[in-house]
Amino acid sequence: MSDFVNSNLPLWILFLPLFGFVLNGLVYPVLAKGVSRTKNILAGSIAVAAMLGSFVAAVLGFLQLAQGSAALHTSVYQWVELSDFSVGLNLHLDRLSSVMTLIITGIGSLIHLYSIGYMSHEKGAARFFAYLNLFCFSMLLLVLSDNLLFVFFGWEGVGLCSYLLISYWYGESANADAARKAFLVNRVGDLGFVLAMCMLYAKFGTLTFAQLLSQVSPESAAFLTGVAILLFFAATGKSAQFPLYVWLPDAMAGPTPVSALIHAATMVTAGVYLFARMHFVFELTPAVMSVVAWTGALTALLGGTIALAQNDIKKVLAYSTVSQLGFMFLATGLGAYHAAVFHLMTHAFFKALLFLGAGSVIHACDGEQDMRNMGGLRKALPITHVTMLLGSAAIMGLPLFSGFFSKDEILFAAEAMPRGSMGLFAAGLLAAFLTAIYTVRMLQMSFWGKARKGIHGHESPLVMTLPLMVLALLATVGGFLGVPHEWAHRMGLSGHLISDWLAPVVPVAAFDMEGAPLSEGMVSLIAVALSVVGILIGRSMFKNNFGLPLPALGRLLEAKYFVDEFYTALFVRPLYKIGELVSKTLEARLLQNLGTWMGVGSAWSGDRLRTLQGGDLQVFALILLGGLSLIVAISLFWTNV
Amino acid sequence: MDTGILLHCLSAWLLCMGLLAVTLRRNTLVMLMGIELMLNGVNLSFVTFSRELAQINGQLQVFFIITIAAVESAVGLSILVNVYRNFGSIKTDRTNTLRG
Repeated sequence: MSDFVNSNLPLWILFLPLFGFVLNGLVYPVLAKGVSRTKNILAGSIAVAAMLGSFVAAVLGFLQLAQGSAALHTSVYQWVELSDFSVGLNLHLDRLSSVMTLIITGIGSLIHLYSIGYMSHEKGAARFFAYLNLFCFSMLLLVLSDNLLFVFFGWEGVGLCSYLLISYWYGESANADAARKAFLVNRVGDLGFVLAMCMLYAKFGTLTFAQLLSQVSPESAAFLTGVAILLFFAATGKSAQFPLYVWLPDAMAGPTPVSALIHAATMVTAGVYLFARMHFVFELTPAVMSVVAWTGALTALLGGTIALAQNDIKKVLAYSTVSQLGFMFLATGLGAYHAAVFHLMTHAFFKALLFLGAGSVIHACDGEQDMRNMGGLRKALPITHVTMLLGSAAIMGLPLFSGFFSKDEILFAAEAMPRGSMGLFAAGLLAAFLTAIYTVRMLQMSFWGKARKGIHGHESPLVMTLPLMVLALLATVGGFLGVPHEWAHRMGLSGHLISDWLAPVVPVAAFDMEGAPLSEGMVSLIAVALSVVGILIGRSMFKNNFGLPLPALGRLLEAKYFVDEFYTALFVRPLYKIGELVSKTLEARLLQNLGTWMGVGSAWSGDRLRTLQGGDLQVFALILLGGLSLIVAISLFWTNV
Repeated sequence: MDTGILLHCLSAWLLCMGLLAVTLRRNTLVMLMGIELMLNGVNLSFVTFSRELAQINGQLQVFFIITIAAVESAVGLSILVNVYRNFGSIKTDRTNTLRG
């Protein structure tokens, strides 16, 4: 039995969620009738069991890697087998995939568990759980596949599940619109992925990472620049970077556990994973990498400033996610992949926690999301409040919380890496400063102060608070996985666990310890000082009114810099115009008449042709003779030629 | 002139006459006779070639054709009997209901 499990661990990790999806999908018609707590709990239990099984398999896989195996490889089946091209579903669990699977299945399990409580009042939550399991399957496929093509399948699969879950409450057209927007914006990025795959295949004849790694060489750097640009474009779509970030805040229309799992912890980090996986391409294209770093820094600032003026609790967190993803892209752009993966992990902890906490608040307030109508929830929701405080401390980077280590590592990388610069460092610091302000503003508006609209929420049940507590623990201590080397030795730890772990798979950044303008300790000190200042400013500025001191700036930020309006004017309206034109001319004039023309044409030609079939025996005989002569003539002609 | 050429010309002439009878005459009986004429034209051609090439195959083939022709006229005549019963005539301009 244990051999059976152990020899095919990647298979178990990947397919248990798919099994949960199929099971929930099959029993859905039974469970869908009427609102029933038991039925929802049953559906949820199936989903949670599938995810927990997957998590156990992921832990077993991690242990095998920790004991020294380089990677676990399982071939599931060969999909395409041509003479010069073969691609199959081959699972490859190496150290990078292992970190990702642990995050996906671990946090996924917690969020599935939380969803049982959150979705208990819904009608037919089996659909929700089925989609959620399908999402986890797609995400695991994305991180486990050993070739780009199946990564792309996972990439599309998570996009599909994101679409399905954003529009879970499809009765309201706003939700359906948000889902469509997310899907369409993602498609723009996906085009880059497809083109990059085509280019790589045309040049190297393979899409397998290992083979690409061995064939890519500095001679083809000019060609790889195109590939890198396209892959970066794909990543901006999925990971909500400027200029394709606009779908993520709208995606908050879905149920909150979806926002926590898909739009904070896992799916949006797919771009970062792609960078870490394809590092051998990006390392050869420094120009693209600096664009990536600057895009990340810009996105971090953009998201951070917009989050200052949002009033919807989930919108604040959404823009905060955009901002934090910007940090990760900043790190990847500098070549500090391990810092990006580290921040990806800590961000998954604290942002999932913050989202679930926000969900708990929304659940307690009967669906209210506007923070102007909250306030004073500290007393009603003590567990949620404390866990949210821990999560906020982590995202603000207060010392020893997880975000402190990961964010400081990125900030240090911004000035100590060869490609870093003071500009990037300053942008990162400013974004970190903004993080503190908007986080305090969110806490101030929802938990502290006096209750405004007289909402008397109730604390969520244990099934929801337990994941909060586990995540709060992780968000608090998770940072110790990445203590900087210098400090680790002083603290008696073995070293920077994450970077040591990833070193065989992903190149670990070489920090310029001596040449850096500021030492790592100084960077931490400045970042923490800025965070504290941010907290104090936020506390005093948003004590009584929640707008920014400058009303014009507040309006600009609340309207998200009018980017959506800009895109509407630039892309959406012209597309509508073209569509209208096509429907009025091409469709109304041509396509609709085409059917009539075809019918009239066949009737007319049939009328002409039917005279041939006159019923006269001798005409038939003549035609027969003609045909025979023709055949004889042709065959004679053919033999002569 | 060589007898062979004459015989070939005769066989071709027989075939053409048969063809004309089949395609032009309205009487189905005459059409059947035309078919027989065509078959015999072919037979003559076979026999002539057999004589010229000094091979027995052609003459052998003729026996088969004569047998088939006998069968064909038996079937054809019985069809004609039925045609006459159904249409009251064996002229082809009356039996033209098979049309589009």
